[in-house]
Amino acid sequence: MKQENEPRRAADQTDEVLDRATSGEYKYGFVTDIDTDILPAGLNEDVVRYISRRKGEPDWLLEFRLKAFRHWQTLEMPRWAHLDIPPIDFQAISYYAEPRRKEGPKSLDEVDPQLIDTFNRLGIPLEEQKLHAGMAVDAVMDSVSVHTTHTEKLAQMGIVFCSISEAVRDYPELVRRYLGSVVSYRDNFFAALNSAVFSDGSFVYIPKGVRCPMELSTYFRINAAGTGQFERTLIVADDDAYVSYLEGCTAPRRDENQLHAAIVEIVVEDRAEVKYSTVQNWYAGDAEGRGGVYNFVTKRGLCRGDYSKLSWTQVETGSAITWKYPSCILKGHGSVGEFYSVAVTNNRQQADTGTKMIHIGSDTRSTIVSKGISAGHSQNAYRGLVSVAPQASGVRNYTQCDSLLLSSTCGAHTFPYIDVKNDTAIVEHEATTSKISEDQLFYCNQRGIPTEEAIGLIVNGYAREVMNKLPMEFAVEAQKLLQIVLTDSVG
Amino acid sequence: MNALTQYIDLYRAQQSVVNAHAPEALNRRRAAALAALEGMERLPRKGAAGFAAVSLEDMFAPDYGINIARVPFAANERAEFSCDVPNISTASALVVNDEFVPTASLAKALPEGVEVMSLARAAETYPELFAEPVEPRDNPIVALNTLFVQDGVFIRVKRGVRAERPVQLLSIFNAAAPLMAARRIKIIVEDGAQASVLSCDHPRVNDFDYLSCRVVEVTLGTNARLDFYDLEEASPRTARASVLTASMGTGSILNATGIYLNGGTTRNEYYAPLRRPGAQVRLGGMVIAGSGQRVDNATFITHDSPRCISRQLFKYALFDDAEGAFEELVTVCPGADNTDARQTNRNLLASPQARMHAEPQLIINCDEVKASHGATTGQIDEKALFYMRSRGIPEAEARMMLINAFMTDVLDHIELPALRERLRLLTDRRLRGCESTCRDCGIKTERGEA
Repeated sequence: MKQENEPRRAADQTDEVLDRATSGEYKYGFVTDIDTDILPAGLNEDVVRYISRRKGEPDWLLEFRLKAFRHWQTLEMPRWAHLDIPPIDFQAISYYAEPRRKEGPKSLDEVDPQLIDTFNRLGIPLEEQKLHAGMAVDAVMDSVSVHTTHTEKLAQMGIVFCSISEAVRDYPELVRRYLGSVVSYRDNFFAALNSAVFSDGSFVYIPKGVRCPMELSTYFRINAAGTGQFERTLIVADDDAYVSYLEGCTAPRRDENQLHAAIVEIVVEDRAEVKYSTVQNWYAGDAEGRGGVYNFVTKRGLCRGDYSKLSWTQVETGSAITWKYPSCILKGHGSVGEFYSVAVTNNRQQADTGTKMIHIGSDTRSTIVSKGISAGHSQNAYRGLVSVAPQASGVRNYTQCDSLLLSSTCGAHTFPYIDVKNDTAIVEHEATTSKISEDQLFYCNQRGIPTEEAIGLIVNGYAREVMNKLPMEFAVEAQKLLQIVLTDSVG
Repeated sequence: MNALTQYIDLYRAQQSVVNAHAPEALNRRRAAALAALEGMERLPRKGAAGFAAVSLEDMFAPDYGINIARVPFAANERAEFSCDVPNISTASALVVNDEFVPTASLAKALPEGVEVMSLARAAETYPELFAEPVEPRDNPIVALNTLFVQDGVFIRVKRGVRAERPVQLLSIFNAAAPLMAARRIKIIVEDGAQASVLSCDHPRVNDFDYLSCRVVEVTLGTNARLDFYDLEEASPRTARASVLTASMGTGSILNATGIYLNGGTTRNEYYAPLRRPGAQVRLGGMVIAGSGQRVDNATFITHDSPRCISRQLFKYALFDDAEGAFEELVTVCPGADNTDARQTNRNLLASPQARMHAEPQLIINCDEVKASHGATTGQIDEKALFYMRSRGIPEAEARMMLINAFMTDVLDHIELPALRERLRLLTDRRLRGCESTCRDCGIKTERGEA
């Protein structure tokens, strides 16, 4: 009898650990009480015109928005992802919410103190002390960029880091040249929607030969209820430039679903390098799947220059539904694309995420490492395309996508597409799916490591390869996040 | 008018003729197939989900004749035809277009407990075996086949019988005009029985454009086993759309290997839902394709019961402007504990114009699972080539040897030694660019004798 009970107890313990892990609290779920100007729900040409007027945009940008809007009206929401998306009423969403302020803040003192408090609670002190931490921050609340730090210091080196509205005003030629050049408004349903109603976001331009001395960072936060967030990020690294860019996202806990449809466009010129890291922690909904953010994002970079390099690193822990495929178009000779991802889903979360590596130039290389972790009743899918154009000789790709299953009720899926049209290409894809093995747990237990810690150890070890790619500050935060979502109570 | 309506209209107009020349058990299923086809907008084109290299629409679009009135063609199969696998003692039968033609020796060669007969006759004799519709019902190839099928091959291995001698089916086309044939092979292996079936598609001397719309329906009882070898060595003017669909009993084993050496545009689909505990399926595929050839293999394996095993190994070597595609989908349902699913796809592009598309997909809804897949696309190892050349092996020869070696593990899964050796030889000859000619296996048909 005793012997029979032993394994059951171990199994119970594992369940208990996972139970506790699944009840990890979302600590960013507060609502900030800030006056917000919200546009009434609904979307039509007037709304698009209103947003454009409100932001004082030039005519060409209004035209761009209207073209996108008209195109969007002809589209239907795509359904091909392995996601169960409840119908979204796009007319029930407010497309513009702006934290109210009398005049644009001239210095930090004029920014709403509650806003600063919000960002402090998020762990993003906007104060100058951040200079020493070596990071410049652009904070986007709801639809509007509220404060950008270190602009002056960066400006000395010729680096432009500001909100996209400011960029439209101050650097119209740069924005006009690059906006929509990587993600066309015709690209997909959500890209068209974003192009029509995008409210703000960040703009980065690194001039020729400049190595950005600090990490640039944007924090996105949806605060107002009943709104969607549609920010747009545009990063341009000119010849021989380097920049590391970080993106973080949070939202309050609400029972309703909120829509986030962003676009990130990156242009990398000759020998330039861009490193884009995301820690995505939108509110994921409660354990029964009520509420949470729908995260439908189009991220794409164009390695236009020879020997350019673009590296995506993402840690996806939040959102009720994630649908995003950060991609690299490897056009320049010898350009390099990288994608490192950890996607964690828990409770009723769903994620369909991955990447596209489109090899157009010769001797281009790409690496894909995707680690999925599914728990609870969640669904986690990797979907990725590796395509090699006929003229792209000497292409090399390596793809590894692993899935870890932490419960018997979750799903882990893999949908790779490999399309090779050149005979000199070497393309490799490997995928494995497994659960934490009893052997591994037993080994740890045997050496005095409790089951809780052992699971934490194994999960962290499993994700390490990707975590190592994150910048230091982010790696720490991402590790903590992983622990909150999964392993905090584990170890 | 698209390709689909062409067939729907033909059927509507000629329904009575189709039915008059086929047994009731086959006719009964046509209405459902027609409804399924009417529900489709069109046949999938190249680029549609799961159709990366081949367009069914284009395959079915030409104005093929269908011999629904079953007009006999003058033919002397013995003179025109013989098989390419000598030294193998088989019980053979011919399939001319869609018609079953037994060889003189068939009855003698068949062991006790093994039936090989015309599908039409079987449908009259055992209508109860034709009661269930063929899954997947909404598959366009299955539905088109069901709409026009009038004959084919029926193989049954009785309970507990281990058929040592393989059954060989030789399929050829014989017509005076372009023809589409709805071929059907129904294989039943009862509880505890074992069988192996070798199916060869061959060309003929006087050649027209042909289309083989084929369904292989496999039913395996508890602990039954079937080895199915499917050799396609037809003419470049023969297109093929084929579905192999299996119903697997507890502990049953299906080992299916498809070898494509020559032919026109080919689409092969494999459906193996594992709904009983301990069932095993092993799918193998080897494709050597050259100028103008399009080959598309799609596999759908559903693990819906504990302790099932699936293995897939597909290898392609593509020359000239050949285009290959491999789509595989393994689904593991909740509760399918101790599933073990592995997929491997390796592709060799031997020419700058060759194209390969792979989609090895996994959907997993259960955690007691071992699942993996690997896919690679590359070319001949230059170092190995250099090694061989530096030892005096001419480059062309060295390439052959390396491609042969690349394919060897698919052929290793072939359990019949004579067939394995023969296929090695055929592969070698194919790689050397020889048309392998069928000679001297001396099959005599009843009609040929007469």
